[in-house]
Amino acid sequence: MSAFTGKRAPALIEVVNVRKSYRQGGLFGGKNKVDVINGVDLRVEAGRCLGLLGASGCGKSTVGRLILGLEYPDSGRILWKGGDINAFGGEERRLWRRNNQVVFQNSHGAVNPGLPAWKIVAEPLMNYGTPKGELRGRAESLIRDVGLPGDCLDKKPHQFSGGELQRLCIARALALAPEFILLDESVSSLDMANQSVILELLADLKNRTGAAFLFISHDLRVLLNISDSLAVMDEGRITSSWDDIADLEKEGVQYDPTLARLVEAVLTAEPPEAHEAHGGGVPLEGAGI
Amino acid sequence: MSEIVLSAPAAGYFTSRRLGLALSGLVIFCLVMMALFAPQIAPYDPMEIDLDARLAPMSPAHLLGTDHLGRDMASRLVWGTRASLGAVFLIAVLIMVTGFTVGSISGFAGGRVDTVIMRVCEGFMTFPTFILALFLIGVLGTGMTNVILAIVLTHWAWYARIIRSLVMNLKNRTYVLAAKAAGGGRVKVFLRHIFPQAISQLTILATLDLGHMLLHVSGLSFLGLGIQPPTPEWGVMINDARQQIWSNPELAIIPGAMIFLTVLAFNIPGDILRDRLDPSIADAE
Repeated sequence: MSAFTGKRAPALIEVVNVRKSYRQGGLFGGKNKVDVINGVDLRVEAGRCLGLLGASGCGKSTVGRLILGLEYPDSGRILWKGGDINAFGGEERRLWRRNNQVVFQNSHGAVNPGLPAWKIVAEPLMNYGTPKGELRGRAESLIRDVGLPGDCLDKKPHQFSGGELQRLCIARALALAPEFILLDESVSSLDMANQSVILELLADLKNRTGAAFLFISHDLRVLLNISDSLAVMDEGRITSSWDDIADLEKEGVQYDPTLARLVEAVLTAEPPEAHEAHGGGVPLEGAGI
Repeated sequence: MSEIVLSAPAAGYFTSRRLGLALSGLVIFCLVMMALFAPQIAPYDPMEIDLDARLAPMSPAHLLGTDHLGRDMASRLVWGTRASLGAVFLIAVLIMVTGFTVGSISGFAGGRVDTVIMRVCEGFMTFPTFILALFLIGVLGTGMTNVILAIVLTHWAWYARIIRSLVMNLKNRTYVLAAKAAGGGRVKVFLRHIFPQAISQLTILATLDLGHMLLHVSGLSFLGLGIQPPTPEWGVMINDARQQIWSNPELAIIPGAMIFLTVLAFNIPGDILRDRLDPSIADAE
């Protein structure tokens, strides 16, 4: 955790020694405790993107859900601008919620299949009191912002491709102009070409809106493209971290065993031609491989 | 997309399914009209006894003849629609409301609330409808109210369980999480993302079950436990016709045919609806 100490900009989100376990089985909550997160510390700074790398099942998505307040930690604290998010009430909570949005992995599952595009995008606006008459117009400008044509407002989710739907989810996350967006494997279910397009869009949006990102992924190439700093997670712990991702590119991944294993896992999971096909659009060379 | 769907299915799809749907729709429409406008449609007072015209054959004056008390069969059949369908719809609405409320609370709350509610449901599910009906009638006396109560009490738990599992499934969908993250409160998220889907599934279930409920209502009335003579109801009419079953079998066959037709008319669209709206089947097509 050495990289996360010292004098720096004030943190937007701080995760302090958070633990979480689940109980399995039994009518009234069973006895088998499964530890998912064993004392995680993280720091997301305003306007920066922190990449969180880990294999599937290492607890990184749980960290994301804890930060969004969709689940509660067993111990430890999650701070938003210095205040514990699980102690927020009323107006404070509303304000915090408004500033914390999310884009999930599976865009098909993340939208209500019965709603038209503009209603999906306008949902956060509806929750925060935008007048009914303005919703459609606001949704349209958001949809244009993420590079979708304005004539798709009334289309249903099944009429969109995965990439287009992910843009729609990004538009929804942007609707309230949040200070923080959680990207939980947000490009992992897309093909290579779509991945780089969406990553470009996200990088562009980050510069334009100044929002901070926590980008959760199992693929280092994705994170190298967009992150400013990086944390690696394994079996519910942060095993190593880089405050500036450029340091990692200098060091090379082979000096960190967990990182090297994760990169290896991603590469072996893909057919070799996939790397050639996308022509190094997401470079690995920089990581010293 | 729509073009493909319209042209792809084989010809059999149109003939059997569409025809079945159209015919059952027509039958249900006629039945509902008969129930709603019974006083206007029925040529005679269904309870008016005319001993001079006992067991009259079918004729222009009495389209379906008369029963052993000279009551006009056609009029009794029309009024019987009102009694039978009225009871069935009332039962369906009561079951849907109870089942939906309990099921969604159980599914949405989860944890111990869910465990307790589900054990209660299982308790209710162990009673067979007829046994509970006999018990209630033994304690509270005969009458339609008790029959409705018995059917509702033995059926709501099945609906509650189905709705519960549906709500549990829906509440863990990513888009429900996304809706929470987008700032929607519990009630808003439930009404916007869970209620519409759950209610459509529930309606299909209830449609499938209407025929089954009609059989219960008529069956219990036939046994003399439900609607009491002389009120016209199909089950009651079959019971009335027992003495004439050898001399005038049509007195039992006609209301029996009505029950058969109605159950069929409710089951066919129920089956088709299930096939059409079940996402797993719809995807495969």
